[in-house]
Amino acid sequence: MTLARVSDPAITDAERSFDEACVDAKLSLFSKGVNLDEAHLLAYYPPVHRNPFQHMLYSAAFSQGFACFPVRDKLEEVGAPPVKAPLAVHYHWVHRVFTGAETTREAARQANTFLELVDAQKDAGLKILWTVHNLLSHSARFVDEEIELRANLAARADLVHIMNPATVELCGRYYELNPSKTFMVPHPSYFGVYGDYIGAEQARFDLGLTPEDKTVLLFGSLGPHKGARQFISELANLEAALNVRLRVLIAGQPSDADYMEEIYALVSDKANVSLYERHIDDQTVQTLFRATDAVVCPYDIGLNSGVAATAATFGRPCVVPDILVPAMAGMGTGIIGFNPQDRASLVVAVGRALEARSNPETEKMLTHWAELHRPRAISAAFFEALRERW
Amino acid sequence: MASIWRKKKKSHRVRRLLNSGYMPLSRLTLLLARTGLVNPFVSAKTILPKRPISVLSRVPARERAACIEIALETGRTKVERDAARLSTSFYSLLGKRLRAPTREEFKLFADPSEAVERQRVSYSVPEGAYWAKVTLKRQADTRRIGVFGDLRLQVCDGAPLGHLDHDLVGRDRDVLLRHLLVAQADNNRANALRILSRLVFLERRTSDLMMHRLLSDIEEVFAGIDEIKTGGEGTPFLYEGPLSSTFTTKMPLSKWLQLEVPVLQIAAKGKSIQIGNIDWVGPCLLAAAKSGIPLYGTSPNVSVPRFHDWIFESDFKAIAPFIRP
Repeated sequence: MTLARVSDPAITDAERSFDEACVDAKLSLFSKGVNLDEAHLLAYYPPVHRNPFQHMLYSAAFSQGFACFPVRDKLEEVGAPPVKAPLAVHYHWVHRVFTGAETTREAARQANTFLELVDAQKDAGLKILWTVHNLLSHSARFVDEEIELRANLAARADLVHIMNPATVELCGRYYELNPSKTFMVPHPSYFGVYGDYIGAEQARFDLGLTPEDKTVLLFGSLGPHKGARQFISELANLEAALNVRLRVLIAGQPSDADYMEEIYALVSDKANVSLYERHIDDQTVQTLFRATDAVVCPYDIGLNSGVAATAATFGRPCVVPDILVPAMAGMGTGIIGFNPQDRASLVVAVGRALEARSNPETEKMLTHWAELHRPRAISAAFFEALRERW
Repeated sequence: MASIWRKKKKSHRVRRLLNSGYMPLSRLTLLLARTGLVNPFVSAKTILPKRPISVLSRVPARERAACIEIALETGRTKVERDAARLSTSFYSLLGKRLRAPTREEFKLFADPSEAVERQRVSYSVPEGAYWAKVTLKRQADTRRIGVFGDLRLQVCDGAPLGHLDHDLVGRDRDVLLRHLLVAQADNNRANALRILSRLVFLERRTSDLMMHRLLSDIEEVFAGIDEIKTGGEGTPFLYEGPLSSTFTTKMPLSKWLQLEVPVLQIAAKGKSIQIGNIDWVGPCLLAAAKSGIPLYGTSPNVSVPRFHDWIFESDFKAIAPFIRP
C-alpha cells in the first residue's frame, strides 16, 4: 500500500530509501562514537514540517544513541532494517491514515491496511511506539473509524508516549490505553525554536496596539475545533463582565472554508478583532506573543497544547481547558484552566490571566518553566525513558 | 511606464504565436470544448485558454499502452519548462474512476516557434479502463501557449529504438526508459547514466534522481578501488557475509562499504580473508578490496554471482583478474 503523501517534503527530509536511511543512521551514530551495540534507530510517521514538534522531540537523539528519520509515504518499506540495530517505528498523528478517504468504508479499509502494516512491522521484530497527541484528531471526520484505529494501535503498541498525566483516564472514554505501556514526558517549550529578539513595546507598536490595550491572542490553525467562533460570539459579554475593552488577535492558517466564512461574518463588525488568517512564520510568532497580554486556547477538548507551551516560552499567561492544566505542570499562576461546559469560567479565567500578566513574577516563572522544558532537555528525557523501557 | 512596457512585451509574444498560425478558440468552440466531448486542438493550432480544457474519449480497445502526442509553442524566445500540465484519469464503462498504474500529471515544455517538438506522454492503461479524461491546463504564471495535437489517447507504435545520441535530445520518457533497458542488457552503466541525466533534467522525478545517484555511486566506488590483494597466509578469517549491514540495491554501495570496512578490519584481526558464502561474494570482495586485507591464497577460487542490476562481472574483472565466470 502506498499511503498518500502527508506533507510536502522538507529540505531536512532527504530523498533516500528506508535502507539508505538505516545505513546513514548507523554511519552517523558510528561517527558520533556511539557503541554499535547501543545504537538505536527510530523511524517516525507521519513527518510534519510546519509544526516543529518532531524536530524538538528528537533534538537530543544522537547524544542518546538514537538516530531518527522520517518515513514520508512508503510505510510498507519499513521492515527489518538492513543494519544490525534495534528499530522502533514511532507513530504520531495517525488520523493521517484516512487521507484521501471519502467514505467511512474507505476510511475503514485504509485503517485496516495501515494496521496490517503495523502487524508486519511487529512480526519483523520492530518496536511500535505511539505518541498520543489528542484524544481524537481535532478535525476527526471518521470518528468511529478513528476510535477503532486508535484502540487497535494502542493494543499493538509496545510503548505509548503521553504528555498529559491524565491521558489514560481521558482516553478511556473512547479507547483503552494500557497504563503499563505508557510513559510520561511533557511537551517541550519552544525555547530557542522561534525568533525571539523583539521587545513587547516594539511588537505592540508594530501591530498598532497602544501600551494601554489589553490584548489577547488566539493562535494556531483556524478550524471549528479551536473555539475561535464561540469566543468571538461571546466577546461582548466577556468584555462587559470584565469591564475591559479587549484587543483580540486571531492568527493561524485557515483549515475550513465554510468555517472561515462564519469567522469573517463574525469579525466584520468588530473593529477590536484583528484576523491574520495565514501561516505565521517562525520570525513573526514573537511579534504576536510578545505583543499579547494573555493567550487564550478556547478549545472544547485537548490533551496537550503547543500554543500554551509557546505562550510560556514568551512569558505570557495562557487560558486552557481544565484537562490541559496537568500537562503544563510547573507554570503556576501562568496557566489558567476553564471548564468548556461552563462559559462563565472562561470569563473568570481570562480575567485571571490578565491579572497574572500584570504581575512581573508571572513572566519570570513562565520563562523558568520554558528553560527547564527546553527541547533538548525534554528530548533527552524522552530518549532516556525510551531506552529504559526498550 | 513599466506597465506599458510589460503590455508591449506581452502583445509581442502573442503576435509571434499569431504569426505561427495559432488562433484563440472561438466562443462556440470553447463552449463545445467545455462539454469534454470535443477536442479543440486536433484540427487547428490553438492558443490555450485560461481555464483547463478536458477531453473525454474511449481508450484504444485492448491496449494496455497508450499515448498522447502534443506540441506546445511559446511566444518567448527560449524553451518554457512546465508551461502546461497534462493530467489523465481513467474510468470504467460505467464511469467508476480507476487507479492508474502510472502517474497522472505531466509537466510539458513549450518550445519557441523555430524548434517546436511533439511531446509524447505514455500511459499504462489500467485494467478495465474504457474512458479516459485528459485535461490540459496552462500554468498560472505562463502566458499564451499555442497548442497543436490530439488529446485523445492513441495506440503507441512500438517503433524500433533509434540511436541513443539522437533520442537523448528528445523528451520521450518511454523511449528513454527503453534505452535504459538496453543499457542494462549491455552492461553499460555509462549509457545508463547519460539516460538518467536526461530524465533528471526533463522531469526531476525523485525515482530518477535516486537511481542516478545510486549508479553514479557505483561508478565512483569502482573507479576508486584498487586491485584486490591476494596471497594471504596462515589461518584466514572466514568472511561469510556482511558483518555490519545487509547490502541491498536500495542503498549506495559506498555507504555500505563505509559501514562494513571498519567492522571487517576489527573482525579480521590482521588475518587474511577467506570468503565463505557464495551469495555474498560480490559485496565481500569489495569490502576486502577497500579494507586492503588480502584474500587467502595466491589464486583464490571465486566467482561472482550477480547481486545487483547495475554491477557487472566486468566491474570485478578489473579489480580481481583471478575471478572465474
